[in-house]
Amino acid sequence: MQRTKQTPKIFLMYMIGYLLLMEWLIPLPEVTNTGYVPVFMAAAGFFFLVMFLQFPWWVTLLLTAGGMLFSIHSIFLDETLFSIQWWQALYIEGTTNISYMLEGRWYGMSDMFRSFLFMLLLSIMSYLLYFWIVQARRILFFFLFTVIYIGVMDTFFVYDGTTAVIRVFVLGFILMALLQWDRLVYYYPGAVQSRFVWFRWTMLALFLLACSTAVGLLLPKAEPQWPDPVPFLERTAGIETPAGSGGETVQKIGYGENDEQLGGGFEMDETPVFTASGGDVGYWRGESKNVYTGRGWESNTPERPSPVSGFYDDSVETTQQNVTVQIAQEHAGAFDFAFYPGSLQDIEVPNQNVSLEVDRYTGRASTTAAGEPLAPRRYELTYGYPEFSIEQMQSASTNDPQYIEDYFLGLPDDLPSSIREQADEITSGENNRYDKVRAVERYFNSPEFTYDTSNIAVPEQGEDYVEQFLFDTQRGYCDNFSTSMAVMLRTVGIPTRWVKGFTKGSESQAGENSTVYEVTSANAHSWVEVYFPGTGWVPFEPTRGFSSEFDYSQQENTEENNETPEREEEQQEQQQDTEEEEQQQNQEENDTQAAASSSGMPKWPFIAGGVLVLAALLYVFRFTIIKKGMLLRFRHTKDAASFTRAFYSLLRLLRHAGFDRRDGETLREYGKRMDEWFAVNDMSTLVHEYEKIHYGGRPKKENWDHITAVWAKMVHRIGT
Amino acid sequence: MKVETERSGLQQVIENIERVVVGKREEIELSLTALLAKGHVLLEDVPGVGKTMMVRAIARSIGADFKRIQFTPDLLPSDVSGVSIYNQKTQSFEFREGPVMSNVVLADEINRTSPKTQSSLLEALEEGSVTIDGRTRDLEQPFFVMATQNPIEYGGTYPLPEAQLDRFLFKLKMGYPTYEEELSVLKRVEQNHPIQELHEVLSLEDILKMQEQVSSVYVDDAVKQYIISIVNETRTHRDVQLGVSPRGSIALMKASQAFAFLKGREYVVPDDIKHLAPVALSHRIILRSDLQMVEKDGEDVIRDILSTLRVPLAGKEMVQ
Repeated sequence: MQRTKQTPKIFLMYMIGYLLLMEWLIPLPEVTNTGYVPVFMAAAGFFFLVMFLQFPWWVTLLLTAGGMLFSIHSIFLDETLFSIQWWQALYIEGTTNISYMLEGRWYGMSDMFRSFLFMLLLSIMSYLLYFWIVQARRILFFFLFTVIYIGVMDTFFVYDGTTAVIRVFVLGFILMALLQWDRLVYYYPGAVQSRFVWFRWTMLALFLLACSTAVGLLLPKAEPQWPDPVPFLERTAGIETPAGSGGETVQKIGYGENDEQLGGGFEMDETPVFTASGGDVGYWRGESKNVYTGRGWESNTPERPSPVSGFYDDSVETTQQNVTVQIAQEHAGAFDFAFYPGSLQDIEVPNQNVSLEVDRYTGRASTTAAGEPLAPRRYELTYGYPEFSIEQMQSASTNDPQYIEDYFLGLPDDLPSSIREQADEITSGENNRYDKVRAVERYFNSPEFTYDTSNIAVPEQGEDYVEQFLFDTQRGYCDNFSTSMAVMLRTVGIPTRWVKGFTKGSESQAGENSTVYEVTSANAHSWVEVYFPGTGWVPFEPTRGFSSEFDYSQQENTEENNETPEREEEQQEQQQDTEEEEQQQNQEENDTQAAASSSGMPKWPFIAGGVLVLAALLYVFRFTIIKKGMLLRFRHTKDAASFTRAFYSLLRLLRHAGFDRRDGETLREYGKRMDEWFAVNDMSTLVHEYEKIHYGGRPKKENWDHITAVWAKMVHRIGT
Repeated sequence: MKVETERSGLQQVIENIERVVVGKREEIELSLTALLAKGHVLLEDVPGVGKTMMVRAIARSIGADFKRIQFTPDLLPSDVSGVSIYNQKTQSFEFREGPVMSNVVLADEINRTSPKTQSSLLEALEEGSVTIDGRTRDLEQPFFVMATQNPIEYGGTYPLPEAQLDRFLFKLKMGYPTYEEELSVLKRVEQNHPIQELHEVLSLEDILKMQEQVSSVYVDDAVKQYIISIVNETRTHRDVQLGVSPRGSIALMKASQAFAFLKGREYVVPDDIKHLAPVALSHRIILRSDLQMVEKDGEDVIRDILSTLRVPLAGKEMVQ
């Protein structure tokens, strides 16, 4: 490396480079598990200082290595510095980790070794920045990449880069202005007549920068054009990242009591909740809520206990079924109420006298023993499994009882009118309540809606949960779909309530008429119940990717006479949907497994990284490589032809180095310019030889050894 | 080796002239180039900048006789070329040589005389001979004419037609001397004029021999291509009404041979062409008439072309 005169100005520029590099370290604690960032910063500062002082190479090497060891010592090692134990600990660390590295067991490497590698990277960066700033006087690329880095950190991670990006902007431009001045001085030495010019230049640059920064800060900022690129990218790339990397609220899936604030993604959780064995079940109902607040669901119904749930009118055909529920170990005592399919008729807890109180409005089946709430581990349910008659629902009147109107049609006063307009539009072609409900349900099956559980938006203050889902994100899970459907139906005067519970769970055959259902937290679900006078509360499933277990096909088959062909098609579609949906449900489970199994590190990043590093090295050392090749090829120049080729390759090399022969420039002028540039007269000598050979008409005997030597000297100078 | 000695001779001529004409080395070199290429020079400049002095210095340095013709509106062709007078004693016509019958001729303010007289001189330039009373007489060799033209005064002048400008190898401008140069001029003429002390450096035979040698200077095809591409550019340039004729190409090549010889080279390089093209070609093009108002002249156009035209390299075929 050519020695450059160290001035305070160069030091200042190099330190700005250091600050830019530090912007790369600042986000690390927030996005990775890196600790002790101040130590790394101090170490990097030390490396920069050592690099700046330009000691002989071995001093630099010693100091850098010493700085690394000391930093590592201060973070990790308890032994006395440079004691025998200390060296031993280091040696053991080093050998084991290098063997891990050679075996490709990247995850085996210890924190200490990774810190060491990171230090190594920092010291290389100190060299690189020295090269960029002090030698090449160029920083644009690093500056640009720093901005991109901050942008990526801000977008994809928890890190908030608002102030960082301003810092980088200001520092980067100051550095660029200073470096630009240096380059000007280099290329136009005449420009530095007065010492004040530099001062004026710097002041002007700072002034412009201050103005643009101030204007930038004061100007109104446009909202992001993408609400968040992460889901978009994931959707495009088809990647399902494990949730939790985003900046949004992330919950674990499961059954919760509080639904006042919906939204946000959740993590899959396969903790078993209960297992059940018995007859056909639909969804497992927990309870329903009736008040939509714009952000979630609450309940304001009076307590009206009854011994049975009585969801359906007598006209609904039900089959009486039994099922035994065993609450899992993890949730023992968590539920002082029962989850049940269909309409609950009775509960029995072995060896205990338990009374059942089913709330008439919410359907919550509380279990009490001797007046105290009881959370039974095992209970047996008797319930009616319904078959709804579509025709009956289609022909049902719209005269709802008073209590239904009171509690199940309410909407927030500030509900955006767009929801009502949308609901009107969807249901405008239908003339009965059932078809309207089906129309809305179908609407949610349209392709613009996507089922997704991670990175789901939470409505901001003043935003409506349903509106956000319907018109903005259109991505979500059961809560989004069910709430939206319930609210939309209410806007067109159809009483609904929002139900939560569990899906059926994974089934396995246990005996002749008995199925075992395993229900885990991942089966937690929410759906909609619609009230039909004469039928009662009928469940519907709007969530894309789920099919309700209240498949209406069975029931419709009993009314074959009234079936229209259209309806059959619809049924087939539904059945197809069901298959797809089941696949999707399964996939949900598989994905979490896949994420776990893929942790064995894909190979391609290493290959791509290797190729990149190789390309970068080739680029950095391109002159050296090309020059070596040239010198090798033309080392025995002995005649006019080979000299001509050598001369042309020299011209190409010069052109590659940015010294192109200008239009209208003769070889002689060019040679003179090059000689002035490199402060030699070799190029003119070569041009003279070239002219003698090619313009002289009569090639003569030349002193080829001398010419080759001059040529090699010239080649050596380029790119240094 | 031979070239070297001759070059040193020429070098001495240049130094000799420089004793009289200060700071005009380039013009001196170009004038000598024209002399070696058997061409003639048109000097276009204001009076008093040393045009006459230069011609006289050249004539003295090569031991040539020097004649000066002051062109006036009433000058007749016979005043230039000579006239036959009846000698009563011998009862025959006797030819009285005109001033053109000389080695070095200064045609001062050539645009002041009538076209008829102008063309009588220009015929001499082109043919190297004059025809008087039906008899063609060869001019002395070497024959070198330097015509001057005052660009400021237009009243009562007959500007040379472009076709006749073509007969001059170069059109030069002298320009004013710099401060230091003028100071040194004043110092030199303070006591007596240095032209009186100039002595002969080369003989006329030497010059004739050199003129022969000049034609053997090698011109590579790449150089010829460069000449042609420059000339072609003048024919298509948007500011030019009439481009350079093939005669112009020949003149440029001949001049470049002489210039290379002057520089002691046995071959022409593109630099010679680039150096000579402005003075050799600028008076051979006619600019579009609307451009004469914007103070752009032929030289600007030629320099324009030279700065954008890629110079072809010889020997390219060896690399493919």
